[in-house]
Amino acid sequence: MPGETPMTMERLQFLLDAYGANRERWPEAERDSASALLAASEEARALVRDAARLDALLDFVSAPDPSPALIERALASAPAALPVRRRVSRRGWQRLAFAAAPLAAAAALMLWLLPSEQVDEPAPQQYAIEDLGVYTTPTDVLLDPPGFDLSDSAPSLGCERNGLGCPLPEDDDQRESHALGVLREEV
Amino acid sequence: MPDTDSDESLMVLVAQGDHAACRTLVERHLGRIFAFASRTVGDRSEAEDIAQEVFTRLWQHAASWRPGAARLTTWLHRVALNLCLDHLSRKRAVNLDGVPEPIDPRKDAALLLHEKHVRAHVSSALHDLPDSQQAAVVLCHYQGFRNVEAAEIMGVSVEALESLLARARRTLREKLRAIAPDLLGGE
Repeated sequence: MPGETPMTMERLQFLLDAYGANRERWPEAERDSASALLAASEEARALVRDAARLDALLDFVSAPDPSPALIERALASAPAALPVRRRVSRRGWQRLAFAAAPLAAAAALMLWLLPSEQVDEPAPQQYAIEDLGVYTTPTDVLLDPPGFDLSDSAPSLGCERNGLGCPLPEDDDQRESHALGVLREEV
Repeated sequence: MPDTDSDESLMVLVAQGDHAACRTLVERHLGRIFAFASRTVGDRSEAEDIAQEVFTRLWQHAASWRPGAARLTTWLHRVALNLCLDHLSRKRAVNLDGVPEPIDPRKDAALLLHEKHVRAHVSSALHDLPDSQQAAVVLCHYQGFRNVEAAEIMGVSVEALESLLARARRTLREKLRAIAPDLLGGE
């Protein structure tokens, strides 16, 4: 073991060549024996002074500090896209519950009301039949131009209900109400 | 309790996308990595690119980081060293026909000993070393790594590292004796 044998001048020279004069850089196991040799030998101390001069010259080569721009460049590719996991406190959960309660109540009310309205509401064509002859405003003219039926120009493919492109009723009255119902549904 | 501010703990947070942890690691390590690259390649712009690339690779490997496998600073220096060596080999391939400017020992000694000129000459001598010798000097002298750590970064034995260091410093001594004979005991 190097630490158990006395340091020789040759080994000291090699350590100085490799690590320089700073003993902190020397192998830990050899520091004590090297120190013993230095305490006893002026020649050894001269070798250390010589190595320290080279160290001093090397220390002239300084390194610049990184610029703020470089710091941002290094961070630019950081995995920030992933969501940061944040712990929600008990108080935070309480706030969330208070905020969500009215929303949940409103949603429940809507679910309760919505089906009954849908069931009670008559079909659009039924509206049109019931209201036939009641319209007296000028928009009736726009909705029902005489002699023009949109369904005449529409294809009949894909008809599943009484809409555009569906086969027309034979009777003129039914045909007229049909056209009104289709337009009303569209409006 | 685990140290929540350790490199290992921060790497776990980085893998979860914690940007604050990324910033802490950059602020902790970028300076040393940039200094290492700057002294090794001798060019600020290239050193900045290398330092940025080191951290890009760190983010990419964060998810697969295994605590305890290697110290983070060792890993960062190993990546930086490989990038520096790649850069130096490309640069030398390009400058194959070029002859480096020799140091003129006849220049005025007072001028040469001016800090700026000494720095330039020491830097030049450092960069004229073979890549592996240069890396060994930068890791041990400038970055302050112990021999075992520097050897691990370079992927060589401690004995091989010592040999690289000793040859490097002997060469530096001979080259720098021409510009600073009184500092290095020249005649």
